[in-house]
Amino acid sequence: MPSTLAPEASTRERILAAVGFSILIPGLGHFVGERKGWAMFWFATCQITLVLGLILAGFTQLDYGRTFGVGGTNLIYFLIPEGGNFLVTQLIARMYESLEYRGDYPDAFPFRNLGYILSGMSGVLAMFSAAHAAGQALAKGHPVRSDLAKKPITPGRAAVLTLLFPGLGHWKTGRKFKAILLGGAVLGLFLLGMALGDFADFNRQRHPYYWVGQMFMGVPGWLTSLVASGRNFHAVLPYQDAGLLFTTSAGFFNVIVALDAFHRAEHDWLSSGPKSKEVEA
Amino acid sequence: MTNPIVMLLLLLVFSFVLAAVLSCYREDEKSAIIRGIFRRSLVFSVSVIGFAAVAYFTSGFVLFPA
Repeated sequence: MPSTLAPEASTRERILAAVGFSILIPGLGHFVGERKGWAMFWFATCQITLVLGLILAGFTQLDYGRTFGVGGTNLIYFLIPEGGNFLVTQLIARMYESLEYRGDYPDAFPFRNLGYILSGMSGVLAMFSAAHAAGQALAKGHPVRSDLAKKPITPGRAAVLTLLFPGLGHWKTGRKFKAILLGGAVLGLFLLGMALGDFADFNRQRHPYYWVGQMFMGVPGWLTSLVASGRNFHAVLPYQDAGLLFTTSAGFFNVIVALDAFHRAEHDWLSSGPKSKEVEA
Repeated sequence: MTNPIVMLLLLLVFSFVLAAVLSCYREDEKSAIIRGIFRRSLVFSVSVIGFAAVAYFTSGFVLFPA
């Protein structure tokens, strides 16, 4: 039976609290863990991108969500990926309505795509802020040895780096083969999918469900969408469906890559501690 | 109109990426990852081709309107 390293029970509780608070409000998990600088950074980044995105797109993001409740109540407004920034999305959904639904013409929002990308970024970043807060809680509960030549990166940072560029988190943990393989495979799949869809596939209005998966591609995906935002289909392309499948799958694969980067960095971190504890897997 | 050869190539590309991500998630050593990629991409692509063959013959014979 292989053995693996695991944080102590008290640290696991702190990690769970950090994740829960971060999902409620990005930065709250850091704040509770007394990382006030990071708390401000995540809070400001997630809320500014959400509000700015909603304003630029005339709150039309709300057309893609649904309310769920019991007995006629509207308990939860379900909108992905913005819902990753949970509490503020709930508040805004109750305070505003889509300007398009109210009767404005679609061409009244020239920066609609930028707005969608920004508000979607907010939700994705909020989810990754939870991973970052978890890494900070682990680092606080399990400090590494002071005699190390090179301090390992925290698991949360490895996950966030994957969002910047697929494979970057693995590269920073020293796993260069995995970094090149994963980065090349995921980014290659995404770009091949975009090419099969004539670079017009990353569009929330046309494919709102696929778009959610595409958003998890991270910074390369967001930039590609912004650069290609003016492109439209002029014919039905033969491999358009395959292109959509590839780009969306690439986004979800990137989530798996981030999870792996987190897990490997966590193992490295715990291996570098003075009081590492072996448990049976 | 799609070309079966291109569809096969796209399947092989997708199988490779899927196998690479899964193998990297399961393993951490280079040799184990490479072995895993070959095995998993073969299993996935053969399974999909099998399903496609069954669907093709079913639609052509069993479900073909008399």
